[in-house]
Amino acid sequence: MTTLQDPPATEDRLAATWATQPGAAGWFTALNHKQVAQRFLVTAFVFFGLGGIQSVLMRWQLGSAESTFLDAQTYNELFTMHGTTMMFLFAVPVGEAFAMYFLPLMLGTRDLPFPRLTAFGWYIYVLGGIFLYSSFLFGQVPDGGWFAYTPLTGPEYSPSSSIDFWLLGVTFVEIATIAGAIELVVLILRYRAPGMKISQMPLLAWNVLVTGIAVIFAFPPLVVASVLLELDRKVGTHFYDPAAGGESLLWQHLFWFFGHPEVYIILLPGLGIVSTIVPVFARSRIVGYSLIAVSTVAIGILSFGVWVHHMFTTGIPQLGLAFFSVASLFIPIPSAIQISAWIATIWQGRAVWKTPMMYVVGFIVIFVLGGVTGVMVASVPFDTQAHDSYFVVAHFHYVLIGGILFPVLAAVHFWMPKITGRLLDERLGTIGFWLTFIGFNVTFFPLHITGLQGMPRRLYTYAESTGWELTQAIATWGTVVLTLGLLMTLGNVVHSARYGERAGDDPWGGETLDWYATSPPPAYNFRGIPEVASRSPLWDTRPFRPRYDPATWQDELREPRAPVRQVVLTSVLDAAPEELVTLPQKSWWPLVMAVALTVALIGTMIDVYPLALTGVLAAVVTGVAWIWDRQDQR
Amino acid sequence: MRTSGHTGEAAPRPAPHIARGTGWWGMLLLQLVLVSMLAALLFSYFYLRDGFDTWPPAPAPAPALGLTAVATGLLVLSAVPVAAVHLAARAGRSDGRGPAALAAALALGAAFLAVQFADYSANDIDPQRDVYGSLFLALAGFHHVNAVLALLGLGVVLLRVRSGGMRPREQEMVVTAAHYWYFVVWSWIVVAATLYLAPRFW
Repeated sequence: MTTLQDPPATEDRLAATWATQPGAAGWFTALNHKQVAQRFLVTAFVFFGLGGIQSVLMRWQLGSAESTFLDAQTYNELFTMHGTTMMFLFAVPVGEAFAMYFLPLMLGTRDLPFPRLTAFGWYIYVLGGIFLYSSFLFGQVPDGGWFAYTPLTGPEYSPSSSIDFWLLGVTFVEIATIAGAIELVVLILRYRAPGMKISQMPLLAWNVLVTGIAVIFAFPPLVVASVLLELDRKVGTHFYDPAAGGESLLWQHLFWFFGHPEVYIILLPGLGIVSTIVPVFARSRIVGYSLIAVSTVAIGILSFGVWVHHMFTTGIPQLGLAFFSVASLFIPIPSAIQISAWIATIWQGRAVWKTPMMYVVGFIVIFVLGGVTGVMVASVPFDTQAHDSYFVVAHFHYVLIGGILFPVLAAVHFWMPKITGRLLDERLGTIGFWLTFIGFNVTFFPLHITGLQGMPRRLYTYAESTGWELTQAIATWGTVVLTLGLLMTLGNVVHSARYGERAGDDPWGGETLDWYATSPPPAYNFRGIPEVASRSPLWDTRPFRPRYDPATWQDELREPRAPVRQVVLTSVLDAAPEELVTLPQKSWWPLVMAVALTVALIGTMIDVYPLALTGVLAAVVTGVAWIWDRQDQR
Repeated sequence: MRTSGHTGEAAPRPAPHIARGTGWWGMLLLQLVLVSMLAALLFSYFYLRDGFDTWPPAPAPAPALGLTAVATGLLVLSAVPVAAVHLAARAGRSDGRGPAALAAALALGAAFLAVQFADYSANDIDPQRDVYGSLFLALAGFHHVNAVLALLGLGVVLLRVRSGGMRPREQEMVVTAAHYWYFVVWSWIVVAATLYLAPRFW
């Protein structure tokens, strides 16, 4: 009997159709979601490394009182680039990258809905990042903090081009993020395997769906804010200039209207990763699937009502303070529902303590601690005291490192066998986890105390008489341990990719369709598209045998009649199969478009407007070509 | 609910359902991005306007309505031929009048932009003088960039339909471009009401 995954008897047209062309031309025109997502992942981790190096330099500076290791200007540049890199170039892209790689597999489809947009997103992400980092070459490193408050970043106080590097580079990366969000939302709504009702899709899909919608509403206001500030700087408008009727506080509103949802945009994919890993290693179906999905949506909605809690000390009216304080105090409710559900799942099952599970439990511990300090700073009187101090630094590192880095490391240990086909070393993984977990806490816990002792953020040094040296020195030694742990994970990943034990298709006894594909997955993911009828398709029948009905659309998907890349579109709620559609095979336009836009960016940057205009016109022509010329047939 | 081959029966391949293809979804989400940008700009406008006692601040006069009324009429009118082509494409009809209708929409859209640009100099809008002019530039500029891009899209569709007729790919293009154009039309009504009418009432 033929099944979905058996290779065909005749020539393998499916594999030939989905294969990326060899050589450099193939590399630049590749569109497959796994290939591009792998680039996203590697790029994000490179930026994580750069941001990490910056933080180690800063910690070294702060390890002793009145240190002269760094001067004030360098320190300003480092904390700006560290925050910008970690928020825009690492945390958001890495979540999207994992989703781009694994959601098509988990949902049982073959690619993302707009393959050329996937490639374009990566190109402008990496070009935007390079653009931002090229500021080091010109000695014009952005120094206005990761939130670039005006008037410091306005034309009067930052006349050099450092802030232009920040505004233009970050805007590029934001466009990449928005493009990725559009892809992922359409993927989740329309590309699910036949039969996978929206109430049965993996929880990661719920999290990424909410993240995507939040990106779609939260990122555009920052693009607008950045463009307005760039107009102030280049054209001489007055949006943030109080002398001509503008207002500095407008920047803060627009920035934090983006900035607070941004925190949840970072966090939600992490929560989804945890909801994916917990049932597999607890050997139990997740407790409270619907509650987790609903609280994910609730977090997404609430995240848009809390931005002013970053602005409690700016002198806004009492009523505003009260509203945003209460809204912030609501956030712990859906978060606590999810944490309770994970704990209940672990409790109900028989936990298998592999490295991914350790990172997940480490995440729960750290994230709860960050949540508790979050409740503290949500209260206006406390925040007035702690604002701008190291207490806040400690709080958001607990939330962000707990919320995204630990889930991402769990995901690395969980999914690397799927990407490379080889297992990571379990002993190295365990040691790496403990070094990371202990190093993290030793680094950031003492900062709560320094903060309550009154040390403000962003000081490049301090006097010995302040009494901050002890906690700061402990933090610096913690960073050494943390760095060792992360390097050990890096070594483990690199080593195992080459020499690791063969993983097989399903090393963990997985629940979702990604473990039904081979490791590493073929370019087309699944020879036949599996039909599913439950939340844990791989656990219902072992081994998994999806329904296969020759003489239906499944047959055409399994052995395409023409050399086209086909996927099946399904309905939004019930995932009833509706249509077979073809996708583009390869394209130069994403690269050409990204380069044209970069030319426009450079022209704006150096005030050579004919160059900028050339870039814009080239982008327009490329856009027309992009619409006109789509290569669906090989 | 349309099902095919799902409950076991060998159903024929379902008919293409162009109106809700991935292009439609992509355009919907792009419009949400644009709505979010528009909301940020409107917030900025009223937030900054709140800092003034008189609006527009001297020496700018309250904006005259004559030219923009004409331009708005042209733009609203342009939605009619676009809608005609859109409905024909959705129904899978190709009656040969598509290119003419698209050309009419292009002409009306271009005329709208021309009249508006005449209006800005007539109304003495200067983005560098004060924040009132800056906001005018931001809101109108946001709209006009979208208008130009949507006009380019309609132009591409026009050429495709003229040379190749209405195949599934052109159908999807028409639906996508039409929805972009509807955004251009309705967002202008919001932008124009803000820039031209709000100063008279608040």
